[in-house]
Amino acid sequence: MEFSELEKNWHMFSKRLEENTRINKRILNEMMTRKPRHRINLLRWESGIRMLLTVALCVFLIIRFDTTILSLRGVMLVFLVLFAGLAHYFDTFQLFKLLGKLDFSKPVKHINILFLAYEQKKLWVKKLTTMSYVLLIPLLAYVLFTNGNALLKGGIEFILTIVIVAVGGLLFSRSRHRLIQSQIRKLREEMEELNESERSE
Amino acid sequence: MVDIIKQQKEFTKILEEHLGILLKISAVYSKTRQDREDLLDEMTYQLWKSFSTFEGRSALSTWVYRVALNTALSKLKQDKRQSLLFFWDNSPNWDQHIISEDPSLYEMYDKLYETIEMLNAFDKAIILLYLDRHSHEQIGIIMGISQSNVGTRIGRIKHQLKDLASK
Repeated sequence: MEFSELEKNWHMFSKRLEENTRINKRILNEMMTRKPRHRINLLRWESGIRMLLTVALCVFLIIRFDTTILSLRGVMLVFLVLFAGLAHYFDTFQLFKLLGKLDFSKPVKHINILFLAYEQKKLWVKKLTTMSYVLLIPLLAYVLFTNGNALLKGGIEFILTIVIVAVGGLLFSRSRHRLIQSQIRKLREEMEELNESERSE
Repeated sequence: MVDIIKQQKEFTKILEEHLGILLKISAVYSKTRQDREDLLDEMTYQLWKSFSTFEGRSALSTWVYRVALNTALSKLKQDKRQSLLFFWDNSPNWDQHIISEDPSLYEMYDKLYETIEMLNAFDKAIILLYLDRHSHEQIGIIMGISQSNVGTRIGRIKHQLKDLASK
């Protein structure tokens, strides 16, 4: 390309860039929202994988111990899944759904409303989980007290697995909860910054 | 707090007005789309960092060019992974639709970038400033070289391009 041609093409290119304010605004918006979008993707992957892992763990326990709902093992498994896992699963599912709904082409106010709805559901889940634990502990104690011998005879491996899964799950969820919460906090801070700049426009 | 919001507002406005400069520099100095996005982020960050110390002694566009080009040149030096990244991220560097939604112009833009790509990093910066109609004096200030050096380099680049065109 000759220099004169290069010069001509460059000026045409610059002119296009200046004229294309609509696209430039979109690029600017993409630049400003890139960080929160990356964070959302990370959280989505995490919650998606965790949902799959929870289902896989339940399926594994059912197959491994040949459990039916009507057996004592079945009752214990259902309790474990329902009370220790389901609320947690529900929370992850809600987060996954929320992250899927976030759309940066809409005003940040709209995103904040979605977050508020999620926080409300989370409170409801927390109440339900606490209530479930209050009911679960005496129920499990009763089952162990009345059928302890039968359980120890036939299913020491089962009890150990349940205990490991429950304790492991609890520890994992505690540490994960802290990490996720800090990510969500950062995300909300970034949203707030965007909101401020939107408000000031 | 109010000051920061005011500053942010002002900065966003400047960024909006001078985004073209950042887009041009990032397109010239990156090989992949990921690189371009990273460079855009880095340039924005460096501009924001130096925004509070900008005293208005030079024109805004001169300041934007100086910070953005310095960022691009130092990132280029640091980024040794660039060639490695190119293997798994070979999405086009320049989104044609950014400049135009008219596909007939794509070839022209490709050729434009191919030509600039042949120059070394420093010459790219000089030619970019020259094409954007900066005087030799302004180019010298931005690049930190003397006015006569700018003239010599531009002459050499013109020769180089002429040679390449004749091949």
